[in-house]
Amino acid sequence: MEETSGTLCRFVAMSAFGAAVMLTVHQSLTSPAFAEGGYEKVEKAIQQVIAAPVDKEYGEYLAGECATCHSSHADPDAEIPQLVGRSSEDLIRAMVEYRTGYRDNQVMQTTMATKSDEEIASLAAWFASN
Amino acid sequence: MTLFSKRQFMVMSATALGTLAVPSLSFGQNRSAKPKVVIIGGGAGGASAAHELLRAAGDTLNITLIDRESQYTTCFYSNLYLGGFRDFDSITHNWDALSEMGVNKVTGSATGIDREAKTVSMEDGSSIAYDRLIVSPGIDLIYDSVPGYSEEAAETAPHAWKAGPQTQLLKEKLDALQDGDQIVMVPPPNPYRCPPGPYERVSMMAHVLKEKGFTNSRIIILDPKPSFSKQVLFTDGWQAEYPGMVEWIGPEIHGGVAMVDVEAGTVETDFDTFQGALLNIVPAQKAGAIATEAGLADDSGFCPIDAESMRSTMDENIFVLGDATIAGDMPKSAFSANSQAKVCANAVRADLTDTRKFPAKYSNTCWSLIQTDNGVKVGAQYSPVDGKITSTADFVSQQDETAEIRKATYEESIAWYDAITQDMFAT
Ligand SMILES: Cc1cc2nc3c(=O)[nH]c(=O)nc-3n(C[C@H](O)[C@H](O)[C@H](O)COP(=O)(O)OP(=O)(O)OC[C@H]3O[C@@H](n4cnc5c(N)ncnc54)[C@H](O)[C@@H]3O)c2cc1C
Repeated sequence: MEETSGTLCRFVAMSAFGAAVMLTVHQSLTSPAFAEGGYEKVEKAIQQVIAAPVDKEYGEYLAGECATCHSSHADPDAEIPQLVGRSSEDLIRAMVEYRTGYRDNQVMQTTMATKSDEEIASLAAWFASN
Repeated sequence: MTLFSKRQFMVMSATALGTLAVPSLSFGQNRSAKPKVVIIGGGAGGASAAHELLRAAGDTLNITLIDRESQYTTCFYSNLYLGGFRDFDSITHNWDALSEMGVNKVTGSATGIDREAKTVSMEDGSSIAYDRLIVSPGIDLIYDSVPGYSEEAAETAPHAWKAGPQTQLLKEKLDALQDGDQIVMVPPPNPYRCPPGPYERVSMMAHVLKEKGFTNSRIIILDPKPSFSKQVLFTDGWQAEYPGMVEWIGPEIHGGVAMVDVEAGTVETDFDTFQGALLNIVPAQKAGAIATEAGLADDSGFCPIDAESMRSTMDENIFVLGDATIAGDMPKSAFSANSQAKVCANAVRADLTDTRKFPAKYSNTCWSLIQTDNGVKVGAQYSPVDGKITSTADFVSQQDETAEIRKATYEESIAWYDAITQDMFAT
């Protein structure tokens, strides 16, 4: 793991904890327990999204943005993973980890910075059911 | 959107047919009554719109896609073809899968739009009626924006800003250079397609020269702009990867390009005359002719749109996508055009089939390759603010990144290329 500063990511629409949160690199899609204190906050945000209302039709529309980079039949070793068929909770976890800056990738952090709890929940619900 | 692969789509339609054998008959009879969506241009904007409409509303809409070509070579990754990282076939695609899935692909040039009658006229004299028209014709080059340059001169000094034979010509000329030969590039003024494109191209040309050990060769960039996209990332990269080989000269120094002589291989500026064994001249740009001729562009040469939907502000039955538009903070890129297509498809479908119109949300990322495994990126999220597509969050690669991150960025771009071309062509 290594730290990155979020200074080059200017978030107008602030994520739940803002861009000022220290970012910690974490690449795998299913995360092991986070040893450092910060994960508690991330976990709380994840649970909040899990409890958020879902609008699957809106999720389907929003998923159009994902398809630009996430192939529906990606090579298993592609740098950008396939989303279809993943569990809703896994997807929510990943998206919130990006939004809080816990997971490192500039594209995904920026993409998630503008997504509300409901939008993340709706996206996850749509992908998980397709 | 390739959330369905072609295979999945076919399995699904087969199942639907099997279980709905009787109702499908009445569907068949109603076919001509389906609202008609016609799309001009099968590139990043048009093909993406066709696929998204098909995916979301294929059974309720009649979708026609017009492109003058029978295959499409992507400008994106054409620099990697120049650099020898891709072959030409791998950047060339076609609309066959979209056709098989139900899009009516018409191969021919659209010559006019009758906005009153709501028809598109074709080169062969036929006409195609629409309820909604999507126009995504890309750019046209303003050849004479560079004195001495012309369409004919481009056969000697290629622009290669539309992918295809021009790209192959540039590669041929690049590959024929000898050690010590100089390349002179004149990038376009703003606004133009792919802001980092000229500088990625310089990187790829330098890569080819360096690979051959041609360290006496130079690339001179005579830029009409005082600054450019990802500038420090490129200039740092050139210094580190191609020391002494690339020289960027801004307008404060050269004072403007006065004359290009492609036969003599010279570019004359107020400051000096530069000699190149290869000239790569990229002139100023405007919206594709079909959009301009239909009165969809304003004085800027590009088409104003409603930020909530990509609907033309000139005609409520027409939407414009991609490079041809004035899209606020969004750069002219394939990623942007694809993103705009999703918003447009949602609005078109809502217009014609009484489905929900969702808020417009756009995004873009432009990856550029500087040298083997050294990729950089810039990107943003956008939403309509006060009628303009406005950046709401953005990022750019950092100067001091590790080689590992740069490699991952390049590999990310490969995955993006695969995904966006699948998303455009339904493959
Ligand atoms: C060197 C270079 C590198 C680039 N790299 C990237 C990159 O890395 N990432 C990125 O996102 N973007 C990149 N781009 C930009 C990208 O290629 C364009 O922004 C994108 O193609 C725009 O899509 P479009 O739909 O507006 O136009 P296009 O993709 O150009 O499609 C227009 C289509 O319309 C057809 N057409 C036009 N007029 C008519 C007519 N009258 N009748 C019938 N058919 C017609 C044309 O044949 C064409 O197929 C790059 C561009 C260049 C030049």
